[in-house]
Amino acid sequence: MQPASEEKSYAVGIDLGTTYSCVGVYKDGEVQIIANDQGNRTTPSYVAWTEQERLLGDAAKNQVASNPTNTVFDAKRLIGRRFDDPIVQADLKLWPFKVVSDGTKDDKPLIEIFYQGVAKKFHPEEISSMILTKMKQTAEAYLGHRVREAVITVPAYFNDAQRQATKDAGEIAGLRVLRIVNEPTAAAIAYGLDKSTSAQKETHILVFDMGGGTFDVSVLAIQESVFEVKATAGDPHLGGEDFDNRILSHCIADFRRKYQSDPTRNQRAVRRLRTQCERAKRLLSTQTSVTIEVDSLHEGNDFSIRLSRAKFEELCLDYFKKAMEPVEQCLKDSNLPQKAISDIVMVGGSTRIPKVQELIKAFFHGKELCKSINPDEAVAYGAAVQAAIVSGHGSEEVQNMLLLDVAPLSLGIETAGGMMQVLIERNSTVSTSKSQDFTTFEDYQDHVDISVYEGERAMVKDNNFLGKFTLKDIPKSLRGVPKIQVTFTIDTNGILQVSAEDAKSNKKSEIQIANEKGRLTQNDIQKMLQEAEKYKGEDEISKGDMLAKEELKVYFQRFDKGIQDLDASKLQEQDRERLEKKLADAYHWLEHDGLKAGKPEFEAKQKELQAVMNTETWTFAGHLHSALYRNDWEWRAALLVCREF
Amino acid sequence: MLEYRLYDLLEVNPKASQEEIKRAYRRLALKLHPDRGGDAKAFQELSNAYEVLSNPERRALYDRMGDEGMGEAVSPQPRSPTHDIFDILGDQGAGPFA
Repeated sequence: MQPASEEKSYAVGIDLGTTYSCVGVYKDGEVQIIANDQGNRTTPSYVAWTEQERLLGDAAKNQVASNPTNTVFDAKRLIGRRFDDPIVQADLKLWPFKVVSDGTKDDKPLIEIFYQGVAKKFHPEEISSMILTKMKQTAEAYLGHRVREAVITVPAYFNDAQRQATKDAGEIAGLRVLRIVNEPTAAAIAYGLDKSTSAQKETHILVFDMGGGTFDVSVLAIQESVFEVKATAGDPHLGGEDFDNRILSHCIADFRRKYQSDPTRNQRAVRRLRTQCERAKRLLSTQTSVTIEVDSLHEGNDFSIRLSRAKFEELCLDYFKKAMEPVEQCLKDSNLPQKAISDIVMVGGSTRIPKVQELIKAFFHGKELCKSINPDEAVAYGAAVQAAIVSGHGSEEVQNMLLLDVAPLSLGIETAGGMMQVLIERNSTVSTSKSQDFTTFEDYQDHVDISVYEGERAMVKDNNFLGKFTLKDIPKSLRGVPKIQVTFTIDTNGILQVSAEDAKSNKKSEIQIANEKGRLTQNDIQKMLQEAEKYKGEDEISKGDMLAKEELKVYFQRFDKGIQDLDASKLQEQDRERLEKKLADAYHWLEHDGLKAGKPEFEAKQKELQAVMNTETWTFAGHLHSALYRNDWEWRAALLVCREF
Repeated sequence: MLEYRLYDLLEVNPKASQEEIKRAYRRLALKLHPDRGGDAKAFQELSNAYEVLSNPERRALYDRMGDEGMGEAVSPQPRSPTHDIFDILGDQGAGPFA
């Protein structure tokens, strides 16, 4: 455990979600979920570029309909994937922003936006890093301290590349990523602390975590302070957004039927409609029917449709049923009968859907579901606890906890005939290390290529290729003689390291897997970090502009009030008129030229007004001054409000 | 030949019940896990021992044959067909050690 550094710093827990993110910190013996500058405890995972500036979170999501091509979301659905991934290709059709290939053999996806007249391309890692930056700032504003370390959560079923990429995103945001934690495991901590199970007896729980874009199921054994994940399963591409899309398609079909016209090319229309579909889905969790309405949706035609809960369920039923498969798989893998599960913990916004609850309840023969923890905040809550544990800042209760997580996918290498030889089986507790001996199959073979895969199929071609490396300079001998030990190590983040060693020569070769699988190089990360810093600079500039503008506005108001407060004995009518004219001009300037102005112009304007005031007689100036600055604290408070931006 | 290495790692008697093995594992994990200031290697060895002994089949095999019986761990040669097949398939069909 690290000793506390000179400067007080906190390690936070961040739930980096597909659609929403949430940040928490363990402080004074409890977890605080931190509200953002809009007062919201979850922040949309959105980034947008307007003509003037970059927007993050709520500000980005709120302007999506008017700026669809430059508003980016769903980075989590791209991260760690290739551009030619069928999932990416399918998602592409639904996104209003542009995604292109980087054109290299890695075929990495890049998100393209226009900012200040120039096309800019970003890796999904960079978009995620911007959201992480927003979460970091949210925490810093609350804590009043720098935040440098974080635990970030990922879906349990994320593969190696997706975990690596998420870790990289953290680094680009300037965070030291203490740990990558699986979302359902983090939620289980929240549940466990809530129950404060110091019971001696072992209990088993099942976490059903269905969010905006991903779906996980985990079975855990909890005994005293040890949380042991027994098995995990899921679908890294199933969640609320898929349900929104089904409603959307339903609406578009209806619109076509009614107006013989197709709104799908009209991005603004689709975006507006999608927002209403998401709203309808949420409402259908508490009411049995809802009206989706968008005025002047496309070609001047208004759109309105009545959607019942039953119809919604019908539209999504295959998804809901598909979600039961990982539940079954997970129980099977953990060797437990349904009745061994003492609690079913529901996490993620999509678990509010009555049909989802109904199906899982039926699967467990009518067992009541545990809804005591907040489905939107549980993951960040658990991540905050884990951050406290790992950084050594938790209370005794927390410090005694231990989390034993598992690797979600089997890992192995290709052997002759394209077979997958598994070294680490899925659901192995991490960290774990497994070795196996291999040999050559040709006489005098002096090198071997080792291809690493993840997945459950027997043939490597059906699994996911992670990377390849070569062990060179094997002393020449007859086939079958050399002994090459291949070692797979998965660290506590679930990230794989592979090495191979020739027993005779002690020649060792190592790779950090995913280097060849489109992972960013350390160089890339450094470059992006600098880019991010530059953005921070730009953000600060525009923050500075905004601050100066607000200061000027406040000055106007005070100026105005100052004039009004002076009676005729102190201010002659002609002076009053002249000052009012000045002020009106200044207001006009602010509303027109002020739109394009920066900090220097605002400050110049304020000086100009001050100068007007200073040319007046001392008497007048004195009066105005005292009126302007009478309530100094009020003035300061106004400025503070501005600085909150 | 009876080996005790894995039992020693878990600090249990070779006749220990599954419940005892599980408890021993969790107790030692609290001590050895890297999060608790332990050494990753030591924890990995503990986990590997638990993996074998918590599975009745693998435990029986270990009891009978010791480390030799730890299943897949020893597989000296890739399951390779003859060279001819690779000649026919060319590079694409080749295994890792072509």
